[in-house]
Amino acid sequence: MNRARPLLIALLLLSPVANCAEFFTGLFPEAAITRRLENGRSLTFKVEHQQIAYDRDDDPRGQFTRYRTDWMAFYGAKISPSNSVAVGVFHRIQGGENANRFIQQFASVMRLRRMRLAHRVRTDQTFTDGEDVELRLRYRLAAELPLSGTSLEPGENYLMVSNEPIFSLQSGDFEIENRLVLGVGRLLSRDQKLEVSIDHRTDKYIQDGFRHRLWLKVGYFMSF
Amino acid sequence: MPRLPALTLRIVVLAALFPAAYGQAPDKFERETDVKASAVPEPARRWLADAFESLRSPRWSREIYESGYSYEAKFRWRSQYYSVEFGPDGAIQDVEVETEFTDLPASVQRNVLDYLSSAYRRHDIRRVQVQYSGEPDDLEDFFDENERDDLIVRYEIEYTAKIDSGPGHYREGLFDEAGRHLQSRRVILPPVDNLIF
Repeated sequence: MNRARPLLIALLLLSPVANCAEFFTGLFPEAAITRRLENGRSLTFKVEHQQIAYDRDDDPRGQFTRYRTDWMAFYGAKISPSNSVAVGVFHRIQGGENANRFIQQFASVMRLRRMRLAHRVRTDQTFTDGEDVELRLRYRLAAELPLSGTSLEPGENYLMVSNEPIFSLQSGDFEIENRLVLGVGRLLSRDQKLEVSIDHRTDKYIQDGFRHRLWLKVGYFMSF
Repeated sequence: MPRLPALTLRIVVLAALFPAAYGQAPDKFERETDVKASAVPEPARRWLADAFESLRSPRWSREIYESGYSYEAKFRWRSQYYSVEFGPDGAIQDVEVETEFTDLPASVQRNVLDYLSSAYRRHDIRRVQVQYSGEPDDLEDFFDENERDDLIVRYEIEYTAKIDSGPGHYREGLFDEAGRHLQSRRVILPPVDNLIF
């Protein structure tokens, strides 16, 4: 119960803001598998699926429908023990709006006294049929805090919080999105993590149609 | 397959079995869990209260490692971070005080840097702790009366090191009072994929 409390509090805090805009919520399973290669190189495959459980608007999407599934592959290289770069490709399956994307990122993970703090700067270019290319710049700050002791060991739980503003440009229109994630995780073994989190996404700050998306996220991460 | 000379073979096997013999300790394995003060042996709590009289509530943890376990109190005191380790029976083992590398004696800095430069292609010092050990009374006198008789001083230094063309990794090294290298070991960190992908 103690572990679930932060998630319940986040749900309660976020639910009122959803009253004044487009809002839908649902389940968001994700899984990433990383194969470590020689000299700090790595290959990562990731899949994310968003399943709507409740859509407040009277929308043809209806309830309990698939929203989108994203497939990603990254080739990464560590440039120092704390810094890495990666390039990736992405394919989105979404009714009538399938898309492809190129991704470039730089990440830096700092070891602080009681937590790890990760900075990630990403640029991407999205190609959707019948639309102009969308260019985005993203910055994510994520913190991982062990719930016992000062370092995370196998079998121990941690708190994870992150925020990511995303700036996009498409057809000359500028837009902003924000993603706030709060969750708990467990380091299952030296190579595996399981996370349950609340992912609150807001977008269309500039254009019409401001909306909230609230996801219950379950993530599995493995690297070997 | 070429055969190794017997002596060479013996050295390789010994080195693999006993990494500490040539200054490379095994990868660091420790498991730390928070514990309440009431779960810590009374001698440990009493020693801490005597040595750091104005200290209020340290964070206590139990550290499990390959050969046993210990209790550790972590706290900030007079603008410095302390880590005090006690045996399973509550007997003081050592006190570590976080400091800046540039605050170490010049000769110690020079010896540590000489070692790192000779052992690695590139290195970067990330964290330095001065480690004091000795008799419980001597340690207590040092922290409450600043008397430094019969104490053993060592330096625990965490650094990143690059040996070959790879990205390098985190290591933790132990150096004696003069800054001479005693041993070092690689620090194994949990995966970061959830933070960067």
